[in-house]
Amino acid sequence: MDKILRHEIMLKSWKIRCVEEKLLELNHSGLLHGTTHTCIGQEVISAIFSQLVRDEDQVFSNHRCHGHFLATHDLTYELFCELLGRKDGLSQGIGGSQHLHHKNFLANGILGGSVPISVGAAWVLKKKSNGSSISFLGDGSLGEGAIYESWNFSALHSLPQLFIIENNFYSQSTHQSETMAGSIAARASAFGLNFLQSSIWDLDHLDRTMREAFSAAKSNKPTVLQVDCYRLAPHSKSDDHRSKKEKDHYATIDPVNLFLAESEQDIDLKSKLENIRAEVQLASDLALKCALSNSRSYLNTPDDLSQLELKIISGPSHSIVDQLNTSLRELLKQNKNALIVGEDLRDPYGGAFKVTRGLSDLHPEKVINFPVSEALIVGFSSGAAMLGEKVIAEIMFADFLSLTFDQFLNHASKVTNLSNGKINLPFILRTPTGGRRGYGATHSQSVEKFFAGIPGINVLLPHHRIDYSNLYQRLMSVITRPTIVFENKTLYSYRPQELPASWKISTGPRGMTVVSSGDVPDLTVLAFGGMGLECEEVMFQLEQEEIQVDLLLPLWVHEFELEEILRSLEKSKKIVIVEEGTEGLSLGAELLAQLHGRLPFSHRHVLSQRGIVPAAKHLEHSFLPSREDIISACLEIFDE
Amino acid sequence: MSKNNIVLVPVSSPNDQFALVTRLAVAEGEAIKEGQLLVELETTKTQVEVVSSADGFVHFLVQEGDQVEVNSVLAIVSESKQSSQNPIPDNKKITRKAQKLMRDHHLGPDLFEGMDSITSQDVLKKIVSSPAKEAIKLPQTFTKQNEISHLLQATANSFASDVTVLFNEEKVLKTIAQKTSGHFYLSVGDFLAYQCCLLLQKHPYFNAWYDGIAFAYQNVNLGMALNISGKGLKVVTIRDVPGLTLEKFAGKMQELIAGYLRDELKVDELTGSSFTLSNMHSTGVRSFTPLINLQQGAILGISSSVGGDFEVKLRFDHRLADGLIAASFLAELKQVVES
Repeated sequence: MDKILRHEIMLKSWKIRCVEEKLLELNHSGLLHGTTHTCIGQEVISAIFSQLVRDEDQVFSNHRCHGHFLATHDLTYELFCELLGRKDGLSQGIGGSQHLHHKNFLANGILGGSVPISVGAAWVLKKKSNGSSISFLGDGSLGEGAIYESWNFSALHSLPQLFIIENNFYSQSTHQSETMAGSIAARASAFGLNFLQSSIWDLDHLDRTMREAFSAAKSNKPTVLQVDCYRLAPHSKSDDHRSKKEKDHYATIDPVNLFLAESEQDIDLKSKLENIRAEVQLASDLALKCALSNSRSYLNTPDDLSQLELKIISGPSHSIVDQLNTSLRELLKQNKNALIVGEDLRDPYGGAFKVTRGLSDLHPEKVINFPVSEALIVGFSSGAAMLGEKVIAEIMFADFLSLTFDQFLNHASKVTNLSNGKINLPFILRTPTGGRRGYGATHSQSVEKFFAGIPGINVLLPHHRIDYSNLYQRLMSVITRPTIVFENKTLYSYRPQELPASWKISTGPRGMTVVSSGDVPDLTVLAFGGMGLECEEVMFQLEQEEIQVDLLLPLWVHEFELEEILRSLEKSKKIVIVEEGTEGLSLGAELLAQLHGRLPFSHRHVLSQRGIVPAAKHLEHSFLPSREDIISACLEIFDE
Repeated sequence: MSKNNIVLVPVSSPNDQFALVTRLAVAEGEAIKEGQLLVELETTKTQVEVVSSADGFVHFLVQEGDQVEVNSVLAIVSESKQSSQNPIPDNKKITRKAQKLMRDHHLGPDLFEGMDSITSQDVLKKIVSSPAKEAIKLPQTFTKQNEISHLLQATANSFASDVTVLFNEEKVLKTIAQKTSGHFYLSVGDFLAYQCCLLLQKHPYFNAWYDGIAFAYQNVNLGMALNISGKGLKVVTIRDVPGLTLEKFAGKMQELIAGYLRDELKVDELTGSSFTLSNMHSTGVRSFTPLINLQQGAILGISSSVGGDFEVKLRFDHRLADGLIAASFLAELKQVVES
């Protein structure tokens, strides 16, 4: 290797070491709050990487990301500020050590979690024919399933991806012999991925191999690069039970230590090293002097969906599944960079519920059938959305969202806050929800409540009277955050019928549709999602009893339109809340807690009991809330 | 919906419009059997027991102490433990809203006789409009309400006239002393009542009532209006007064007063009078106009003594007699009691 290049690499490695050692020092002296996972011993990997990475590449890293970050962006001061919670920090102290976000660099503390996201990014980069998607992984993270979902897809579609595995033989305190079956090489070849291997103890070889890896990725040959190395410092601050003998051995062959020893003889070199140390010290001192961050970007500001301006349907119309198809068609037509992803979407099948029928015939490159990899579907959507694609993903049954929970909770919903508002992930995930088809316990649930509680995402639960033919185009143009839309599957075949002439229907500025059977309501009924249709039927029956109802149909459930609700409740003083989900931290319970104390009212809550949705038809009927349940709740509260 | 069995306030006496719920014999929602006692009511005449006509679970629409109108709903006996608050009599469609209004205003379905369906509009028409804002509702006992309904039906008062004569206190007392010889107590009112009854045998048109034609009672059954110690206005009846001696009459009167004070009067002691006397002799009232009772033709009112004299007023149904006849009746009475 060229001597100058070698020096450059080693000086870069040294700088990283200085930063890491400084951080440990700050940590021990109590000035640094939280924890750090230093890459002391592994720096050369990042240093060589920094020679090769370009601005058009997307870099994804993990908890041990400082070296990777400094290799991608030489921002020592900003890094210190971030970890010290200062104003000049990358995310003003919100992300901290494990969650560095800056331009094309993204790190997350969930092992393997950002790999699906890197796949989405790779897809877009391939389209642009410019840039690679690079993920840093530790050997310890190779237990995570999401990684294999990603490798499978990446190989299948020949994406420009590079997976660099820093193999230091330990997963926190556990040696690889306890956790890994087979080999890393076999894992890569199982998927047909290009596999390369090197180590930090042969710099020449590592440099050549990494160049080869970059080149392969660039030519759409996804590659796994295993780099054997050793972490000299503890996993985080001071947790280390490895044998002293082992650590001492690796310390003696550590490339940076060897370079330091070498430099003893070279005055120039030595002063360069000291300058670098001083530079790092200065950056640290300056960071400590920087004002503390007063950012509020950790708070969630939901999208203002009042701009949606969706029409409501009060008369005969097409079936909802036809309307949805129209909407997706329009979206694909209007957007060059639209993508519809999910399982079984393409023609001739056209989706499990036929919502995507005909779309892949019209736009073959925009409709993608995914393997059964739900976590990947959502991660992919995040990565692609990050780079500007308009992605609508489908999860075939809402029940399967459980497999995407990490992607929503720890990644998609957090990226915008962690990047201090700089990175937006506007993608839509649509999913059929609800029971009454006898599909049984894992294909019939209403799981909205589990997601409505995640800060940072929009959760829509549309009812039977919105104009679905405009839903997705409008939604895509308005959102900045990941959005889940729960489509009630029994409504797919529903055709909106005309309302009685004496009834009124309107939608407020905050998306709540109100159907009134009279001027002054005796009763307010609030229904979520598909239950709105049942409640509308109940309104007819109640009208026979001269009971006038305001039926409130909210469109989203990540927040409630309390003003609209109170306006009706002021008059009726009685509310019946109807939802299909189960008792226990339900949507209605949250709503009641928010309404409590604003004015005196009484309530009834109609929902499923705590339990599973049984498969047999009659059992399912008695488990899920029925029309009879709604009527009897309404009559009971009316009589009070 | 499960079948419901409706329990109504029974008609215990033809003249009673109201009853008082004195006791609920079982708990709300309890399982009961056919024939089991559910409610105890008190009417103006007597205690009434209401039993269930079916097995089931009882749901009360009234509470102890409520005054309820005859034929209104006391309770529902339902097949299910869930109370459906509203009985829907099988032969009528009453909207839920109408039922709620009826319940809130204590109106029974019988008030809408002859209607196939009842809407809230129909109910609102029945509800008496609320009084002016300066007025507040006066609570009225069921006895009073009962009395009101009797008075409303007493057509005699539409044609009533009266004649007043002054009687001398001293002379009457002297006559009483003579008659009793101190052996028993006889009040001025009681003495006048007795003599009046004897006189009525000669003046049947005052012991009668008008109902298209004039009906005369065969016996003189005296009704004595009592309203003492907060027990409410009641008319105690002594049958066939002319058939009793004065002493027996006085004794009977004492008995009845005692019974009145102890709320122990029997039905036949409260009904069947043909002529009523209202005694205000010891109240300090100088003059008053009594009202003729239902199915009677006349009433005698006795006021308190002023300067040694007291007013005796005969109020009578003019369709049965006239002023001259009334005057001569009183003149004759005066002569007898002052002799």
